[in-house]
Amino acid sequence: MASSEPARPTRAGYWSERLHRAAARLASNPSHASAHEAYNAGMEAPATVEGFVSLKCAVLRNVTVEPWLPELYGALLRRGIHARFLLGDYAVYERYASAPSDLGTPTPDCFLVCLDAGVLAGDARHDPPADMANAVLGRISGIVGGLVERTSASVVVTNLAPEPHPVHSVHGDQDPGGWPHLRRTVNAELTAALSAEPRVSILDMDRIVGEFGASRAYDTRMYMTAASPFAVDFLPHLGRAFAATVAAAVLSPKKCVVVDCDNTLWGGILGEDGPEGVAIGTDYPGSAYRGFQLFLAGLARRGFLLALNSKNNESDVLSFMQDRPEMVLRPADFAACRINWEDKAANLAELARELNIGLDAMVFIDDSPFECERVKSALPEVQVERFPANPLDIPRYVSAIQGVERLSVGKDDLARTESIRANASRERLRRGAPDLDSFLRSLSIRLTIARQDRTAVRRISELCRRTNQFNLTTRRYGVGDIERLMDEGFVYTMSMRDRFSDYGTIGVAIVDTGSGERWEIDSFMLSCRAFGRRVEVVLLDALLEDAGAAGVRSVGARHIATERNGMTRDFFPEHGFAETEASDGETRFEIRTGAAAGRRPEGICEVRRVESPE
Amino acid sequence: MSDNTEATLERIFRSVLKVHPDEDVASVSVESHGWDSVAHLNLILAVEQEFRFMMTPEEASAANSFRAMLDLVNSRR
Repeated sequence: MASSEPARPTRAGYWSERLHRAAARLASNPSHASAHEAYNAGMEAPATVEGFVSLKCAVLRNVTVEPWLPELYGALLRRGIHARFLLGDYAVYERYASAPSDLGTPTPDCFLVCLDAGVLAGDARHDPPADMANAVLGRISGIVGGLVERTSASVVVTNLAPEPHPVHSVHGDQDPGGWPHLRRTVNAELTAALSAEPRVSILDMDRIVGEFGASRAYDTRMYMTAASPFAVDFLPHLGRAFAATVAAAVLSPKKCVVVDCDNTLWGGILGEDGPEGVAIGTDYPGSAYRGFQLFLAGLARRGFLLALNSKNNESDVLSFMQDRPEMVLRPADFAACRINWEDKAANLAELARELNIGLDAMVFIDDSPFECERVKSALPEVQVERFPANPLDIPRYVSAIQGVERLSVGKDDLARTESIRANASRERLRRGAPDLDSFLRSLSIRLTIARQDRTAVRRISELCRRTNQFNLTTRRYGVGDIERLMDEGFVYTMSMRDRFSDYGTIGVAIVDTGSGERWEIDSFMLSCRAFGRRVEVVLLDALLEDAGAAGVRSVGARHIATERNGMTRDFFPEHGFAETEASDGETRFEIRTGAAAGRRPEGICEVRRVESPE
Repeated sequence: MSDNTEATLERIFRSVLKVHPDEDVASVSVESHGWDSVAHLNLILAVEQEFRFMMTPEEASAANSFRAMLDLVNSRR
């Protein structure tokens, strides 16, 4: 077997095509053998494959997880993630928390900690001592804490799955000191303990096993003979759950969900059935559509924008949405609307422009096969999710929509959404202003520049991962990297608000302070939501002022050209930096401190400085 | 039916055990390179899932070659 190494293909796009094919085959035939085929292709492929996000994932486990890996790989592949797994020895899984490098270097991007409750709690779970929950919680926290402290990786940890075959279960149901209750206590306290740690995500085995059905999820025979707890049919479900959590941690979430109205927000066709004829309410089938609206309202609360794209008479739709008591969503819940008889793909492109977001940040939901295919072919960047024709299928459909998972919702997520909504109002103001200065003055921009804001590391990492256009070096840093860069130098953030909204954090500058005599700007970026306000100069000058105050003689910087950051090519020279070197798309600059600092462009009425905010 | 079974089993062996396309899968056994305990576990899971039956531990242990696995599958269908 594998007796001779196949020649490694070098044709551009070969591996991308092969992995896409493997993902498609797995989607059409989700068997364990197909998962192996995809996994084998992935292991043969180079670590980086065009069109896929690379992920190096180490697995710490106290149980046999080898059969999981093809399924985890396949589920990640279908989300555009090409993973490499490093498997720790299960006999010493806790050791890796204190010595992660034993799993190999460089450190993985992600650790998956898979813990079997039976192994972790041992025989003591049959007659638990009083402090058992704390003891188990302490061991899990110790592993996770060690990985967080010693690496910059994301950590996904399974909590404790229910017992496959509980004994004395009637008594156990009543006994608050019994293992079934203690297990749930451990899970609840684990969630509470880890919720504040931005790099840690929990894979809730109670939910995942419960969704599939505990009686089908386990294979007792394999657990007893090979320490492999789960049935083969459960593994794809586990893989999808794992991939959803990992994707939420490493991929950019979508920003806007665009929905149709007829047979999507409500049942029936408003223009034909009339306001009294469409289904929305607490009785079926209206209840199913109401459930979908509740789902959308939940997305809006978690920072997603909602938009409408419907072929209808606008006044009919808006008055129905406003007046019908059973509606969950009202017109004001939508950041933008295109209710007309135009092409829906053209409407989507207009919505993207109006909201100033990319088409790849949109999810389009419509029940019409024609409209879905039209958008797919005209705008392949848009994620299209065809809404089910049968209202009974709506709950399952909603749970399977990808790209709308978020691990947590920070104040910046909500502020960003509000900011995008306010942009529509701002745009109207801009169109009415006589010139740019008048417009900027009318905004009353207030900036806060913070240094070493450790409460913002997740947002900083997100900006590093998502900012393409105004990004001088396009270095993609994770949360752990940002924490390390704060330890080794300075990380500046700039937040902005104006009379319409609070934008949250919109600018980041990362400075390598080196030996102290010379600083180097490692990264400098500005969210597209702040373009055209001239605020970037304030962030740059704050950094240069600090350098001067610290006795630094000069500050270096570089521009690394990408396909999308052409707008920043002249940024440093336009602000007093001299070019010192240029080669292979990278240009280096230098400025003596004091050459440019303290400028305040037109329209900025306040700049506040904060050091290490709590 | 039998030809289909053999072809399906061959696909499973090739994907799980990474049997080279040039190699005769009928000659593969537990003595072959790459057929370790983890591969055996994966093989059992894939075969059981594909042919929708469950092996006893004894049957799983005895299914130590392609030919033995094929005989087992045929006997259970």
